[in-house]
Amino acid sequence: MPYFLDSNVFLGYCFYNSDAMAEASQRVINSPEEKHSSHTVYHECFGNTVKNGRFDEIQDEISDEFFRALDYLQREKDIEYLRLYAQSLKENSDNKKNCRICDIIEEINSENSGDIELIMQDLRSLAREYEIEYNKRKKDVMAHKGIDFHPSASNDHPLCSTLASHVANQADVHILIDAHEVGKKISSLVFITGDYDDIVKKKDAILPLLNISRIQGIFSF
Amino acid sequence: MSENPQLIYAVEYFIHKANPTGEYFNHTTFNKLLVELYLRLKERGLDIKLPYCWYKHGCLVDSISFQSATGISLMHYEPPRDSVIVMPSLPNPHNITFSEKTLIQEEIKKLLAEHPTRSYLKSDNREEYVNLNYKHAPLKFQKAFRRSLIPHLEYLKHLSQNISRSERWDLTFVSETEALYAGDMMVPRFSSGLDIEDQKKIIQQLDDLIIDFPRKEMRELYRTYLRWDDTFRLAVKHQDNLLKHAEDFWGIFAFLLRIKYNENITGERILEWQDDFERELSRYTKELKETRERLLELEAAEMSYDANTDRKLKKLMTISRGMALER
Repeated sequence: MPYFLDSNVFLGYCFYNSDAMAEASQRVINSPEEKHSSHTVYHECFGNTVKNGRFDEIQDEISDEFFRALDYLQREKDIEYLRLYAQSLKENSDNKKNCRICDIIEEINSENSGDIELIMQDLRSLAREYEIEYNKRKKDVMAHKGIDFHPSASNDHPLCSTLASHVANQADVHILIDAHEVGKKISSLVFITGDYDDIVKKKDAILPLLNISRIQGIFSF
Repeated sequence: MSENPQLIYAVEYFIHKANPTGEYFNHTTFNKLLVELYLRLKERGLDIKLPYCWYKHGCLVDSISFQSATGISLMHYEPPRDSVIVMPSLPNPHNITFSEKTLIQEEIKKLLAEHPTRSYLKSDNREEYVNLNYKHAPLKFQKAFRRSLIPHLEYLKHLSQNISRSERWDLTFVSETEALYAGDMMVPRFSSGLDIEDQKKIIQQLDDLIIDFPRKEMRELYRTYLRWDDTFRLAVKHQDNLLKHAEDFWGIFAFLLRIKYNENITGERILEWQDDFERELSRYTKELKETRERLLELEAAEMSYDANTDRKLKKLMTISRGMALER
């Protein structure tokens, strides 16, 4: 059966961590079934010529944390300075630069018994490995997995208001409408999503409105 | 349109004295010397309000602000693609005091006397006058990048392009097998551009630069700089267009430099430069991302993951996914 993939399927695949969602996403994306999605999904995940997508933004933020840590270590040559800096970021929850890689830095620090040069070397390698892995998976999805990304449906689609009464998130409404439009051309389309609260749990109410045959949660793969 | 008689007088007296025989006088040197004159006059208490900024190659007099300050187009003095004009007669100033006039004359004579052979009229001496500006460079990073890293990379590029063909081939055997097949003949192997020592020296320059980067003053570029730094380290490892990558970053740095370090520039001009910077930064960010992705692909071919790295990678992926779900 042909699939229509929601953005969180790509999320599980691009940020692969071996958990149930990652494995299920990988199975869906690697499956030989016909796979469809839409420009709305693509732009949300991977951006367009003007704006970065959500995934690229996240990858950039994580990479930036590594680069800032390397900058601190290069300047101060002392892990304590980095700890203090990280701590100050952690304490300020509003700060966008919140240090998310603190635990990893601590781990690398203890593995290298505080040797700054080795810590820096390991941090740099890990930052690059993370980016390589993300880039490889992103490129896979964009070019090598035969996913057909269809043009997005219009923003004032007649189904918008009806669906909005069931689905709170506006972006989800648009993706469901995209799938509905694809479903007009592709019969027996299965909508696959990781969004259980907003979509899977409400499928009985949503499905009769749409031209798709089934809504399936990612974990059932 | 206002008039700044001190500035007009200084420029015209300078041209008159600097080039009495009407030789070719290039714009670069003219600009650099004018800024030097301005700074020296200012030090002696006379502010002629020369509008200039720091840019890619030292200091530059801004033509739009100059016209706005004097009512005279800078092109009148430095016509496009031609020599700075010749001024056979002395300027006839008005609205300028005797002491101002004397001070300007004194400083110009002193400045020109420092170059008795009129070296500033020789077109191959431009760099010397860029250096003159760099004595006043506001940022240590700027000096280190433009006057140390880039010349070093230019030198290495020059070396790789100019050594003779025979020198470009190391007379060493590629491998024992090839040596066996070659018999008594030496097997030439192309010498890759940078040796380990060259690479170490560049990395040391990068390590020093990161300490000098003006994080507060140039905060708009801090993130880009750190990304450039790691990308450039990859480029050193994979010997990829080093001079181009350094010059490209220097280009975007210079776009911000002229906004932050300038004097007597009109507000409108600064706004224009801010727009230019934003546009260029967006273009450069994309270009840097593409370069980085390409270099990371080269890096990937050499990487091997162990179980410990794999575990940390998965941790990072979990953090990333959590961030995506929060948005």
